Amino acid sequence: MMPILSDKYRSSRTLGVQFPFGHSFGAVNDRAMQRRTLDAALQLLINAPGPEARVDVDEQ
Amino acid sequence: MFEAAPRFEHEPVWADFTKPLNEARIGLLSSAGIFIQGEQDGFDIERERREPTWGDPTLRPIRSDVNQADIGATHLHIRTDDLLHDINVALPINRLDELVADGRVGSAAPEHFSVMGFQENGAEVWRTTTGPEIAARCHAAEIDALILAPA
Repeated sequence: MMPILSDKYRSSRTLGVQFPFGHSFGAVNDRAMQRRTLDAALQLLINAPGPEARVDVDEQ
Repeated sequence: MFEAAPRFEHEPVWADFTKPLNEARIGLLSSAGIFIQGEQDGFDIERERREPTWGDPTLRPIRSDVNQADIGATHLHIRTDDLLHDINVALPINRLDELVADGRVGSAAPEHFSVMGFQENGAEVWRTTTGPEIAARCHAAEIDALILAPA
């Protein structure tokens, strides 16, 4: 859902995740998952080629 | 429902990020309705219950050294149970600190931010007041980038 809205609002950079609402970075107490998600967002920050860049991560 | 939302027709906001990540200061923003118990009021969900199309548009700065035990969350449209056990599911302050400790990120912002994501159409207060306040705080704290995490 969120990437649909990000596309509509032309966000500068969007990391698409498939976690439930309220869990943007993953499961409770799953440090590795949370860190991978945050790291993916940071990689998008530095590597995005231009506006409306979007990367979807496969983790659920 | 979301497919019907109109596409934003203005040019997208964009800024190159050229600073090395290990020199950058990174901040976090969540729309999960997080607040610090004992220091801040929760978001006004009582008014939202009375006025179902209204959402509290105010801001809660979240100190980067906040203890998990002091975390509260008020949001009528997401489950906050896990967040009250582990803030990092929505605002990964500890994960960011670990990346700083590992040398991958230069520093973490001294304060992060939370808003409550259910807003009336147009989010007027977010545009005119809350957003500019967040930008001013980021500028004052020399935050190089803010990761926005919708809840």
